[in-house]
Amino acid sequence: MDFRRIEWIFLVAFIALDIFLGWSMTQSQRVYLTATATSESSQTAADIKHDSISLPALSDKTSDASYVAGQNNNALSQNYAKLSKTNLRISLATDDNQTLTARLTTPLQLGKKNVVKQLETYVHDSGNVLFGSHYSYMKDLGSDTRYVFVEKVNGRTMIDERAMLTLTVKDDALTMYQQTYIDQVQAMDNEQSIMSARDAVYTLYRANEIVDNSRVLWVRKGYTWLLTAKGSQVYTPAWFIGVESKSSKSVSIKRVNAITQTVMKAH
Amino acid sequence: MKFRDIVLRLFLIAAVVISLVCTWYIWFNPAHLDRKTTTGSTAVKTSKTTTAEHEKNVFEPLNVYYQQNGSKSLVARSDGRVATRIRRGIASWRINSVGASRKLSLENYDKILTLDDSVQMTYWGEMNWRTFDQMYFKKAAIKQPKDFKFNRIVFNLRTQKMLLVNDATRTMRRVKLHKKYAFTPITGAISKAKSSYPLVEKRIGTREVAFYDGSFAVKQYTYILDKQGANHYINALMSGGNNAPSSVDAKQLGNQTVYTMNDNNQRLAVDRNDSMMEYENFATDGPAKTTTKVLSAAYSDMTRLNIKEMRGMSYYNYDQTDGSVMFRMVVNGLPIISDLLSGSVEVTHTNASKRIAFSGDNLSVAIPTSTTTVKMPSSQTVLNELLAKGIKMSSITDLQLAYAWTKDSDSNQVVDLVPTYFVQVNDEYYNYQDIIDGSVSTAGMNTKSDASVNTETTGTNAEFSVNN
Repeated sequence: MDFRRIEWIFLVAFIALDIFLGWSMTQSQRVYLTATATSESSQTAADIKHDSISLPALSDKTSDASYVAGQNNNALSQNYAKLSKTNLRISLATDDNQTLTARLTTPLQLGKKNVVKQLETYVHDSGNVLFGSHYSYMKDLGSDTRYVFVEKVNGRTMIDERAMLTLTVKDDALTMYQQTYIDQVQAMDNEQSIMSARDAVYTLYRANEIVDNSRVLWVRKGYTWLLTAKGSQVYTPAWFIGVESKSSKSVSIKRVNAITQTVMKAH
Repeated sequence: MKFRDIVLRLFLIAAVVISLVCTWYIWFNPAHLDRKTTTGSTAVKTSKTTTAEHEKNVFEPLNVYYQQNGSKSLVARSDGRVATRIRRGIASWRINSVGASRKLSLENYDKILTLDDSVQMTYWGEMNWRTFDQMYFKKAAIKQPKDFKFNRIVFNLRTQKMLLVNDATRTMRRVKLHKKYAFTPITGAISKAKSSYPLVEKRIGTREVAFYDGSFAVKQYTYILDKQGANHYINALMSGGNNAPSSVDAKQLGNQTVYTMNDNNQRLAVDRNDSMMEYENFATDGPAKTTTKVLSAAYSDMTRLNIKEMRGMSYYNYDQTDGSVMFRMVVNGLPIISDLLSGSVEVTHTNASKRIAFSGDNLSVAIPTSTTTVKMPSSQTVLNELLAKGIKMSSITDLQLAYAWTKDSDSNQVVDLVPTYFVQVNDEYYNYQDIIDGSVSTAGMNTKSDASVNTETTGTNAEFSVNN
């Protein structure tokens, strides 16, 4: 087949394509929109089932919450001298938020049973971890080698890298941890009813963030960073949803802003 | 290469380019883009009580002045409005009757304006009696007068009397209260004000304009934005509120995306460069006949926008010449003024159509910030600078301390409300700083002749001169 014939074939094909595209452009551009109030969930539930998506028991209870705001703080740098210098090598990174990294000079050997309890004991010792009592273990965020603790600030659970304690365990021994800390937050003036766990999952589904043949493993509520402006860091109440692919078994964590009811992309 | 080969190759290239252009156009068509957006519209469930109370808040006066010991101040608070406290405090009052309208001499009118131990609440536009009676008091006045317009409510704290004044016509009506009510709710509301801006009122045209003495600073705010796209407003305004799937046609017209339905009887135009939107309904009944119903209908239309945060929205003006009712957000006692209608909603109902102009960007909540306050110059200083820039006094119809809607440098999810003065020239508001620094040209601003504008002044008004 010579080159000229190929060119003729391509020309005919592209002309046909152009005719089709031109016809598409001249048609009325129609937008189909659905406003779905949070109460109309039965259709969504049916669609979820049809798509082979498994859900745990989901609460439809709503609660009240508002944005909260905090300031950058130097609590870690101001207090790290209180940590035990014989056991820990400390380094501090300071950008928008301070991150304290502590490496155990001698890894702490952990018994095979009740690893979490042993780590909690370690964390709550003020010589080991600053403000350790502010953190509590959240299994869903970690793995076999990373144990993640989230901070509770003024009674609110922060699920955010700015308020997190991550312990690294290798060969059954605690080797290091990394810590960020939020000092205080104050509620902002927009307390209102926020969406329920069930509505958060449905919102995620409607946004095509839960694909066919998936499993929702867990749903947690916490506060996460929204924006920084004028020296204030604003956090919003959000739903964190762990979604597992039934085929690959990989787990991804999705977030839904509980106030604006929109999916939050990774920042 | 033969001529035929060249032509063939050119046609092929053209066909490929055409297909790419068509693909690009279809891909970026607003209809295609809107299918990608996933923000659901959520009905904001409100009880009847909440809506009724909110409507009363909206139709409160813009300004609350307190005159004491020979000086007057605008009083305000950032966590709610002084006018709301006063309204709630006197809700149980009942008016017996309203006296006949009395034209005041300049001297007597000035006496009212400078009445010591008085609280004066003013509307920027005019309010009508019937709406005022309905919104303020649980029980209607015993003897209903014929409807009339006013813009100033005067509470004489010494004599415990109440007046309704129309500044434009310098007329006054005495209000006879049904009983001897205690004025303590009013003084209590004043005592809880957190901000106080000293001023004198001077007449510009038919308006008493607050002239601030420049001895104070005004707080600047940063607010999180509640941004809503076209989907939200299409569902709120065009779907009939029944949450059923609906379809609209989308077209690109210049800088606007225009959505239409019902054979073009309803349209929503969305500006692609900013957040300005305009909804129009051509298949609607004509406007209401009475001012009360016009204002009530305009309020209902505003609430159809289904904006989450409506606190602070306030009635601003009803222009009977074009049938438009303007609402503006008020923060810390000051309105927000923006040429993109940010923080504002304008409802215009004529025989031809009903139109709602608004912005897709609305205020959500203020961020606690470390921003300091802004020291304001005096109103006279600002006026002198504007006159020196060539603007004629006769072209100015208002000079207002207000908030300018300003993009924030840190984040596009927030907006700064920066206090400044806005000057109204030929019915348009301009940030005075834009005129002073040349961002806005003054060419064409002085279109009114001196002879056509009323520059009558009261006894207390100073002469307007660059040398003041």
